[in-house]
Amino acid sequence: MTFNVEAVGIGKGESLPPSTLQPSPLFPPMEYRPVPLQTGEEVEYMLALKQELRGAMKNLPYFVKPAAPKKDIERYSDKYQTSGPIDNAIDWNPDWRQLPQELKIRVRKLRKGRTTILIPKGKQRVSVDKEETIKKLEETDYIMSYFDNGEDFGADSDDNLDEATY
Amino acid sequence: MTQAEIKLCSLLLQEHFGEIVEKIGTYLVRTGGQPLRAIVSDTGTSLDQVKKALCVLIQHNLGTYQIQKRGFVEYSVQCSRVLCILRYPRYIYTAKTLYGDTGELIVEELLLNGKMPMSAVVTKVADRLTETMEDGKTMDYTEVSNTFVRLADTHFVQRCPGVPDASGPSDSAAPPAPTLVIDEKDMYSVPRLNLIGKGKRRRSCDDDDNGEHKAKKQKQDLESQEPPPDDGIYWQVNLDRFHQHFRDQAIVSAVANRMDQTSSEIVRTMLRMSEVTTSSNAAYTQPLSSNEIFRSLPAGYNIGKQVLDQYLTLLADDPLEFIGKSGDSGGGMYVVNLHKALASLATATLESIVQERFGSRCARIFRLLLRKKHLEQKQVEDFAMIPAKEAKDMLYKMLSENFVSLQEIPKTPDHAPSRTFYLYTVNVLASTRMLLHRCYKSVANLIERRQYETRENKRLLEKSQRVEAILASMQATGAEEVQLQEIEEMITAPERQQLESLKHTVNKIDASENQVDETIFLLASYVDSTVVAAVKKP
Repeated sequence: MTFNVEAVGIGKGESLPPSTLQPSPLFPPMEYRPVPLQTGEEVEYMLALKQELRGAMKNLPYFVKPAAPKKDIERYSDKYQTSGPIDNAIDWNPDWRQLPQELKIRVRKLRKGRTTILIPKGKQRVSVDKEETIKKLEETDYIMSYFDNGEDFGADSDDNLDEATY
Repeated sequence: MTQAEIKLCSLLLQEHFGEIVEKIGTYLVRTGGQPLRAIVSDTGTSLDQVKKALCVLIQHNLGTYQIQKRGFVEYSVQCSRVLCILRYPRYIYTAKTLYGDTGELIVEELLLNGKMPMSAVVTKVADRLTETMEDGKTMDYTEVSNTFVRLADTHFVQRCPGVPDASGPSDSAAPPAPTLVIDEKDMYSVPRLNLIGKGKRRRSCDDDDNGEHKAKKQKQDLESQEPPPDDGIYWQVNLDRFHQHFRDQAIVSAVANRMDQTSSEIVRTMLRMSEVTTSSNAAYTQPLSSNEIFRSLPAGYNIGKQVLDQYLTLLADDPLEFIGKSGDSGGGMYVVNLHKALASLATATLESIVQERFGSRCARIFRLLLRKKHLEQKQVEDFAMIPAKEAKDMLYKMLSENFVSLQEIPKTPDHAPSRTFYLYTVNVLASTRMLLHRCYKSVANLIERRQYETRENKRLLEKSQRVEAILASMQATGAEEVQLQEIEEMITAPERQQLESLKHTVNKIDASENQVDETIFLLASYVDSTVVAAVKKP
C-alpha cells in the first residue's frame, strides 16, 4: 500500500478483504427487508388517479401514434381496420397565433358529436371501459355492415341447377 | 442533467405522449436548443412528425421556443418540467383536498390539455360534473367559475404568456414566431366573463329530445362561430405553487411530529400568511410579528397571547431552527427558515435510508458523524460505543456507497500518509445528490418493469378486454344471466388468477413510483434551495 494502512484503521498484520474481480451482481442480496409501502385512502386514490391518467392520455389527440408499419402482404381486413391518423395532420386545434409559423400543420376536421367526454372516476372504473367499448362496438357494427354476411350465398346457386354443387 | 434523468424523461414522454414525441423530446433534452431542420435531420424523423411532436410539447408547457438573432427559431425541452409528469396525480389530489371535486377536475383538465382558455375549462368541467350527478340535476357554470377564480387568486393556476396587443401599423414582414409576454400583474387576473349556463349530459337515447336537439345544435353551431370572449387568454397549472404547498405541508407535519399539534398549527399559520409574499425559492419568509400571528390564527384555536409567545420562543430555540427570531418589535418578529427546514428534512431522509439499508447501528454512526462533522476512526469507535472491528466494517460499507466520505488533513507539507489525519465526514449535499440520482434510476427501473409485465401478458389482457366489451354490450341489450355467465367463462380460472396477479403487480409498482416521487420531491427541493442560496451570495 502506498500509505500507512494504520491511519484508516487496518491493524498491523490484518488481512485485507478479497479484491473484487467482477462487477457487483445485478440483484445483490438485501440484508434487510424493505419497509412495506404506504397504505391508506389517500394512497389508493392517487394510485387510481395515476392509472386513469395514463389510460386517458393514450386516447387524447396529443398522443402521437407512429405511422402504421407497412405490412408484408396486403390483407383483406386492412381495408376495414381503423388505423390512426397518418402523417400530415393533427387531431387537435392549437392556437397558431402563439406558435412559430414554421410549425403550422393541417388540422383534421373532427366529425360533429364525436368528442369523447371523459367520464369522471368513481369507485367503478368499469363504467369507463363500458362506455368506450360500447362506442367501439358501435363502430364495429357499422363496419360489419360492409361485409357480405353470406345471406345472398344460397340465392345465387338456385339458378344454375345443372352445375355440380360442392 | 444526468443519464438517469434523461432516461426517466424518455420513459415518461413515451408513456404519456407516444414514441414520436418521446424521440423528439429526448433529443432536445439531451442536446439543448435546436432549430427545426436540425431536429429533422438528427432524429431521422419526417418533418410532419417533428412538427406534430413540437406542437404537443409546447402545448403541454414541456418545451419552449426562442427566436435567435439570425432569425431562426430554436426549440428546447426542460428536463425538470418533464419529470413533473410523475407528480400529476399528486397535483390533482391536492386540488381535490383544497377545492373539492370541482377544483380536482379543473386541475385535471388543465394538466391533460396543457393550456386552455377559462371558458373551455368551465364548460368541460361542468359537463363532466353533470355526468356524475343524479338525473335531472346539472352543474351551474357560475359555481365552476367561482372555483376557478379561487384557484387563480391563490395562484394555483396562472395565465400563460400571450401575444402582446398589436399597437400601431403592422410591420411589413411578420416575425417567424410571436414573442409571448406576460405582465406580472396580469398573471392571475381572471378575465371578466359572463359564463351563464349549465353542464350538459352526453346525449342519451331519448327520442323526446330529438326535436330540441336539432334546434340546440343549430344554435350551438352559430355560437361556435364567434370567438369566445376570452379568446387568446390561456391558463396553465402553476406547478411552483403546488410545490410550495407540498413543502409547507412537509414542514408542518415535521413540526407536528417533533413537537405537538399546536406548534404545527402556529407554523401553518405563519406559512399561510407568507404564501403570496414569499417567492418560491426564498431562504426564509418575510418577518412576521407575534401580534400578526396571533390575529391570524384559525378561529378554532383560542390560545392566549402569552401562550403563543411561549410556543414561538420554544420553536425558535429548537436546534432544528425551523423558526428563527429576527427582531423584537411587535411582540417579536419571527421567520420560517425554509432553507434550514428543507435541509433538516433532507437529512432526516438520509438518516432513515441509512437505517433501513444498513441497520440501526450504522444509523447511529451516521447520526454521530452528522452531529460531530469530522471524526477519526478511533473517535467513531469511542463515541458510538461499537467495537472497533464492526465500526470499521460499517464505516467502509457506508463509504463504498458514498454516504460517508474521507477528508484528509495533512500534518506536514509533503502530505505523507503516515503523518495525515483521515477524518470521516458526511457531506449532506453530495449524499443527497447521489440519492436523488438513485431515485431517478429507481423510478425508471420501476416503469421498465411495469411495462415488461404488461407486455408479457399482452395476449391475456387483450382477451380480457374483448370479453369485457362483449359483456358490456350484452348487458346493454339486456341479456340473461346464463348467457352472461357463459361469456365470463371464456376466461379460465388460471387465466383469471394470472390477471389478478398482474393487476396486483402493476398496482404495487405504480404505488412505488408515487412513493419514490415523494422522496424525489424532498431531496430535489433541498438541492434546488442550496443552488439558489449559493448564487445569491455576493
